[in-house]
Amino acid sequence: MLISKRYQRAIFTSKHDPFSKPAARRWPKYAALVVVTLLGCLLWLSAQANEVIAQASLDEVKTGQMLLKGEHDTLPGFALTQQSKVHIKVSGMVAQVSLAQSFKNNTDQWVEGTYVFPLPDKAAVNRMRMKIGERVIEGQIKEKEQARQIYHEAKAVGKKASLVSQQRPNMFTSKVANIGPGEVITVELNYIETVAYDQGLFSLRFPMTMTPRYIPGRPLLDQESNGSGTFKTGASGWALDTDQVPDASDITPYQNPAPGNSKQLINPITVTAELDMGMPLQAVDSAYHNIVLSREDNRYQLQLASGQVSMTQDFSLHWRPQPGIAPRAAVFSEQVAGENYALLMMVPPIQNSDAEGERAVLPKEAIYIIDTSGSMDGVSIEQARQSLLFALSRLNPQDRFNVISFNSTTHTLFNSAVAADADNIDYARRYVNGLQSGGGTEMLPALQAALRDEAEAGFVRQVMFITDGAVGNEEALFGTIHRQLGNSRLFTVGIGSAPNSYFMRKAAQFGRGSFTHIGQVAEVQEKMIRLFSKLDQPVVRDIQVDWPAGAKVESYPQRLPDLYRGEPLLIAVKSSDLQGTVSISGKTAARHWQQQIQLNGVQQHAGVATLWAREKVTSLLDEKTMGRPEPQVRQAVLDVALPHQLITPYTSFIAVEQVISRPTEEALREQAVLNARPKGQGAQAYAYPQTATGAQLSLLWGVVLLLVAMIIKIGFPASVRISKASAREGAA
Amino acid sequence: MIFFTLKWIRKTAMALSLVVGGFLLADGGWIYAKAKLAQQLIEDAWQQTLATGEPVKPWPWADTWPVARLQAATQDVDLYVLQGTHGSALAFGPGFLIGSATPGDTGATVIAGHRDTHFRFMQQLKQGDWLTLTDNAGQQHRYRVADLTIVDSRQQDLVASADTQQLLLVTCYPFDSINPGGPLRYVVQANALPSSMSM
Repeated sequence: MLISKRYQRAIFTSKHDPFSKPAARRWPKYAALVVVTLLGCLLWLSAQANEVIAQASLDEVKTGQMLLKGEHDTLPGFALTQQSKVHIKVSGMVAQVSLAQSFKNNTDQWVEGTYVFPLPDKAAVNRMRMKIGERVIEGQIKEKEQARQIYHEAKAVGKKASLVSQQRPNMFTSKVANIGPGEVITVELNYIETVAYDQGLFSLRFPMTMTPRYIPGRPLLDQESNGSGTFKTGASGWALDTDQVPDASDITPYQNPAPGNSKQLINPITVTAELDMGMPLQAVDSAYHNIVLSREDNRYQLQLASGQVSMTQDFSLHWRPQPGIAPRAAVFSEQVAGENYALLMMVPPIQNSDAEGERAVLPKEAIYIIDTSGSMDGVSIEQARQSLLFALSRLNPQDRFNVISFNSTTHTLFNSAVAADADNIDYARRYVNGLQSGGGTEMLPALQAALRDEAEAGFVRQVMFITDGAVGNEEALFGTIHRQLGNSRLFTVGIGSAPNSYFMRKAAQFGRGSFTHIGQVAEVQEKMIRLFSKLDQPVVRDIQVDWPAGAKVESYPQRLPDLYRGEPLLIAVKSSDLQGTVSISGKTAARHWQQQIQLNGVQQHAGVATLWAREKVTSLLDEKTMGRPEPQVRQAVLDVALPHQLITPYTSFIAVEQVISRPTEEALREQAVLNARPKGQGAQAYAYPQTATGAQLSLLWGVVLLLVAMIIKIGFPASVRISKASAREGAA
Repeated sequence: MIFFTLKWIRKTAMALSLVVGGFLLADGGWIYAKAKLAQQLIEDAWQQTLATGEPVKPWPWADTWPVARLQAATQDVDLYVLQGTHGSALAFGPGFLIGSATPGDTGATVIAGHRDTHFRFMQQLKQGDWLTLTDNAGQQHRYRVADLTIVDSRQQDLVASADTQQLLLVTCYPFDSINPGGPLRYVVQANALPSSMSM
């Protein structure tokens, strides 16, 4: 009624308005139309409002509460189960590991099994065997695509076959075709790796499971882009291939939803180890598992106290030589096919007194990046928060800092780094305490935000990245770090029961920093103190290695890294003639040092050649990250990997039994082994999509604005006439 | 001078209000029109998908394609589900969350839709209602609604079962909130009926 009254008035008054005369004649028609539309909209919106009232009772229910509860249907036991046995044999700096994965088909049908599993990121896998009962079939190293074809042909005709390929340096896939009903097939792998040595402590990590990696990018949908035009689902992985992660479906294995307990093990594993360092040890500890240790001279043997455990948390072993006999340098060598290979380890002769000259270190600009994505859910986010709070507590008043948190989006606490005064730190502490996990892992914008700024003159810029590294686009991130690092140094803190160690190590390598792992809240203090002792101490730079004159050598890494306190220099070398002494030099801000190492009469050590080949492959793949064309890198990798029998991104192991076991009329079903959920982490979770349109909001504002237009039309004339009159008076 | 200014203000304000208001009305209307009309275009693509088993884009520049058909008999709902839950898919139909289980596989199939268009019917769903999902092979999977939950997306993740076959329908909540960016979500969990289980 209100509107129609105004409408009449509008017609009446507008006639007297000479300034809208041409429009006035058409006005009634338009006005009628507008009014009808507006009334319709208002009616519709008020109908919506009524529904809101009707729904009010739903609003009273608090979030997270179940309105109604129904029974859950559960499925019977898993069709394909896997158990592992790992034996680690450490001698000097070299660990030789054998890993047996047994796949059991629990169905009465023929099964093809797929198991995506982690290995240490520096593992050099150089042997594979398939065991069927008593029969053993030795695996062959082949170019990846060729191996895949052999496997598929064998699978199609019903032969038992297994294929082990690499998805990431720390992620591999075992495929086993034609496992008969009730049958067990075992895939045995051997790998070699160097033991980590840092600040006098030796350590080794055997990863058990993986935190699901976040897959950024848009799915590749076109038939051209994935070749077949069909979508990989089911056994292969939970994610579709995307433009940023073209192999997403291969690196996203499903997770077992059950957390596992002592009665019901998820992917049971037995771990045994043997340590022979050639010297007595002060302590041997396992960080997350109870072990039983026995000793015979300098040989230590250990096994899990409970025999078997679920593969829910990385096995982390560390040991320390007795004080005073910690090695400062060592050489291991091996002769293979007429070539000499050696592995050199040396701790720079830096004393604590060397640090004195630098004690008045430059103040630092510390940028802390904290991952708050969904994969950090559970204990991880707590570990991350505690690590960051610890870092904040270490800031000095003359330092500057900033905090960046990210999940699907990046949030920077301060516009740029601010002074580490009490107020700012207090503000940051409250911010960190309030951080919750959830959403995606869009790492790139966070890294770019952290590396965008340069440090002010007189400041050392250190970026500390606290994350589980659960992303699928590692290489793109390394490339970004490499290109945008500038004067910053990047330190990674790996969080959780099953972090992506490959990401931690490589991001720190390209960031010219260092990395540490934190697997429990209780470890935060100790591990962070160790990391900070590196950050605060002088760095050994400009390391040079002078090989004996005349020797033709090929050594890796080619670009020697800066070394932080307690870190050893590790060099793998190949030479036709390895005699004489090698001289290694470097400097800290305070002094220059040089050291000689004897190469003559070094003991032979199996596996050194393989480690050299692995270092060469790593170095070649780094070149690819830094921009060398892939075809070149691929060929160079094949040239090393095939003779040295190494699994790489371009080579796989394949074993085929020549007997046909599956009758072709019987179907073969694909089954995937579920990975165990990392201990203390939330179940596989998804981010919520945005599920409302702005339609209602648009309509509402549209109606409001049309009403405003009408009110102007109706409400103004009187005042306009007055002003018109006064304007004429003024003119006269 | 005042005279011209006032006239100018009046005319401009009116023109602006009319233009912007009209634009907003058209924009809001377009969202609804798109949601309705697109489903009809998608039907053709779906029929081709069923015939060939290959994904078919409903229109050449689409960045999504139908992957399933969702029916709720009691609410008279018949919708084509599109691949992905990005905004440009949800504008045309409910979206299948990439990474969730494909219908018929063990695990949770997650489908999200706009509360004010396709998934408006979710407010009428109640426990025991039946939902039917047809996968791109033409296989029908039936589910019965078990739980209806309101969650705060800032605090809780969408946790999906991995060992049972279930269907999770997600939409924004409350249904009639005028603000499209709210944090609350309404999640309906439906469990597969044993007859359609395959394993």
